[in-house]
Amino acid sequence: MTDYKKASLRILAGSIFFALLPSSAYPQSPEEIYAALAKLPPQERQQRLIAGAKREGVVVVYDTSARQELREFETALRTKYPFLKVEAVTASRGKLLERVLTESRVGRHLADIIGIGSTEDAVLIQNGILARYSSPEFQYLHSGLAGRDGYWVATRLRTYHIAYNTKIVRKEQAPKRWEDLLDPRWKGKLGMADDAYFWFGALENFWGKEKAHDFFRRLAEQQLLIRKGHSLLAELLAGGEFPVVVGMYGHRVALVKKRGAPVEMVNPDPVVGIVGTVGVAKRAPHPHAAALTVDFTISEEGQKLNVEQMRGASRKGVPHPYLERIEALRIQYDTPDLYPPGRYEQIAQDYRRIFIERR
Amino acid sequence: MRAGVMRALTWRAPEIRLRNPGLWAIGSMSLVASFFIILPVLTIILSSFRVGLPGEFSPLTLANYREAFFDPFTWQVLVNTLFFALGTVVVILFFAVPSAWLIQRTDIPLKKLWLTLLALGIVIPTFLKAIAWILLLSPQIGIVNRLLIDAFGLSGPPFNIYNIWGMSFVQGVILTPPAFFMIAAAYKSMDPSLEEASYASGASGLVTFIRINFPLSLPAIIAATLYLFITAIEVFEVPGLIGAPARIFVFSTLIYYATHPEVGLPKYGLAGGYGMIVLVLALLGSYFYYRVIRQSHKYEVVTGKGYRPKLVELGRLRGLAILFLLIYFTLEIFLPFLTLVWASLVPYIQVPSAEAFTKVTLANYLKVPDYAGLRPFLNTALLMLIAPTISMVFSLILSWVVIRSKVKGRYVLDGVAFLPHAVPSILFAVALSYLALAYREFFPVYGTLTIIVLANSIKYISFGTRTVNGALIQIHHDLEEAAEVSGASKVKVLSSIITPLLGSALLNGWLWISLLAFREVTMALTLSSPKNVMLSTLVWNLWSAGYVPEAAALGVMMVFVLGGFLVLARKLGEKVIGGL
Repeated sequence: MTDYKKASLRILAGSIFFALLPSSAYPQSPEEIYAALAKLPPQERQQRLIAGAKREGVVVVYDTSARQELREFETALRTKYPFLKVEAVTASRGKLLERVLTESRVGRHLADIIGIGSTEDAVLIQNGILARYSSPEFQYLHSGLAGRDGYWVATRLRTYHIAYNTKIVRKEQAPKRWEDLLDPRWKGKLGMADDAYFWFGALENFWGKEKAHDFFRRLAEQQLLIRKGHSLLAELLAGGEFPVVVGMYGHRVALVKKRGAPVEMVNPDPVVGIVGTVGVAKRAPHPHAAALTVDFTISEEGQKLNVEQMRGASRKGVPHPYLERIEALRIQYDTPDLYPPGRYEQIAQDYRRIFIERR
Repeated sequence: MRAGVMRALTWRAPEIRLRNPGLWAIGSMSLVASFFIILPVLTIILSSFRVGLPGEFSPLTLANYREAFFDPFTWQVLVNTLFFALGTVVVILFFAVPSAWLIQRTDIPLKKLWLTLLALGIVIPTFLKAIAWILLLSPQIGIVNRLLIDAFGLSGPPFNIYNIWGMSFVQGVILTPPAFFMIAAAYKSMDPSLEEASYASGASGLVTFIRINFPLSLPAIIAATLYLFITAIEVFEVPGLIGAPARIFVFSTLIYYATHPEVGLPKYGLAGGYGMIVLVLALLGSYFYYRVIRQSHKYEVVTGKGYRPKLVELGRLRGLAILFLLIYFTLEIFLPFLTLVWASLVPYIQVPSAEAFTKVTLANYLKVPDYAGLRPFLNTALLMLIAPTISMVFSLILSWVVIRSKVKGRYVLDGVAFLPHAVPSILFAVALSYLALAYREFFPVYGTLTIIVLANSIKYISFGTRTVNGALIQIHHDLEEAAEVSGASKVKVLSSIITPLLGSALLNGWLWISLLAFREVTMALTLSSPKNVMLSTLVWNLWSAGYVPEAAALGVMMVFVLGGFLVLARKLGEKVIGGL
């Protein structure tokens, strides 16, 4: 028992020790550097930024994108800035958030750029982990897709749709509106992911909680076919396990469709959109490289990568990879300001109770 | 030597106390192993009394336990979990015990092939296997169902995978090989005099198996049952992929959702609360296991007399025996592997048809080097060599202390050796990751390959000690005593008598841990960084990002690479210890 006590005391003591470590390891914080840069004329600013990034030589990116997507990003970035090496840590959203929080708590500041998502940004801002950085490129983005304080900027957009297998369902029979899914003929035929939380939250935002939950409860009566993860869902839709999928990622449908699978998506009103964001870390060890990389991500070249990776661009004038006439659609985005801390957890709990655990 | 044996038989075993320097070495190694096991486990237990992330300051609280246990849903889940784990173990024993006996104790042909196949199956990642089974047995698109409907004009699908039987069946088939290897070591060494006595009294091979071999291998079977029962409680892939559609939830699903929220922070404290139930079940099981091995002398079959037992001649039953193994391997490897190959050749998953065959392409294989690079291969190779070595050295020492020494509290040590298996992998990895971060000044392993190696080395000490215990129990004391009487030290006994006699069990254990580490994905993902990408995490990442045919192609390539590794390891094993 004394061993146990000693061990726990050590852990405790260790944590206290690291929490008290001095906090200023750099002569100038990233925010100070950015404030100074902002005062310079554009060309000189750019020169300074590049010179600084050259000295730093590396940018550490914490991101939820797939590893190979980041590889493509690195290739594009290095074509423009050959001196810049990218070190990427990829993980799921929750894991990455946890990692950032833990590292920050013990005073280990490794990340330059943190790209998780809207609800996480709220937590990161609350914990003082993100720096304010307003890129000159912000002006070219669709409105509302960069944080007013410069803590975050949306770099890629995803959308949720209704999708169907064209071998089983003819186009005119396919459900067009979210409400069409309640038709008795879809009973036992609707596939759904075990974690389409944002779709749930966005409809809550759009319809209000009461109407949305009434819809969800009636949808749950349709004997939904729950499957784990969007990869499996897309493959099973292509294979014909179910004729229709509710709340399906548009890019996944587009991806299997591109491979030749008999799938199609419809755009109900509203289409639900989720934004992928990035922010610079307040204690970024490579602040110049970080800013340069953020600028590149939302530049025209950086945003065009999105199209190849089947994601919507946040920059104006870059075509959407799978949505035609996007301006005609109503898209409900989940920007960080819609997700005060705690709301997301409530949504996840409601979702699981209504659709998954059915109690 | 013979005189020594004779004298030893009339001697009482001298008690082993930790007096001489060699024993100090063994003792301190046991302590080192215990330290590395207990520290993360303690971190987990502590975290179950806290809310928030590990290391985050919060007062001790019972909130997690309240959330876990005052919810009637938890109890419904407990019932599901027990049924699932029980069903899985039944399937495992159904396949593992007869195959262990057939391959080790009979004259069945092609033994090397069977052994290689048994090890090869593990190479295919579990989630890909589970998906393969969905494609085979789904009531809507299951290939087997389609074929049977067409062949016999059935009105509906004969099989439905989405229920607790489907889950147990798939999980049981997948977990049979580790059980086989734990049990096989015991069948390898059987006292031939008992068998001969049985034959002499007119009993058949089968009766001898039931009356002699089976009871003698009981410690190994119980160890395997217990180990895999706990494994079945912990594994997530099959319950997640096959159980969730049927809304059958088990503990691992709850722990998974607590620790892998799609968004938001993982609730490790809550997961720890659920984990404690698993821990208690595991410790209860271990207690039962001690009671069996405490009477270990009953199972000593390897004596100073020639112990190479004779093989049972199968005769006319040979065909039936081969059929049994073929059925098993069809279920465990051939069908899932063919499905995997199919998935790697077509652009999206579809039931084989004339139209589908026109879409077959090798393009997905060509993309793999692009996605993978060289690093994951190198990292994986290092992990596969180092982790099992560390794990087996500690396992040998711990098992020897538990089974052979008279040190007080040695059974507690066996409980400690079982602990890493009794806590969920995800929590174990999170605890290690936190410790590495907190103590990085003294022990800079955070985000390195070393920490993944360390995690695997510790995690599989449970498996290693189960394997060694089972084999060690069978070795008669007289051999060690003979050596001691002739003046050998304890360390010398361990290295010159025990280790060679255990050769095949040690090598099997090593090989198997190497393969388990190869396939391990939960801990590797949690501890991952750009520098320590593994093949297993790469396949998982490819799959979850929607690169499904590429993931399948990499899976197929892994099977071939590992096939080569296995053949090589066996060749090497034959040279070193004269075969497995």
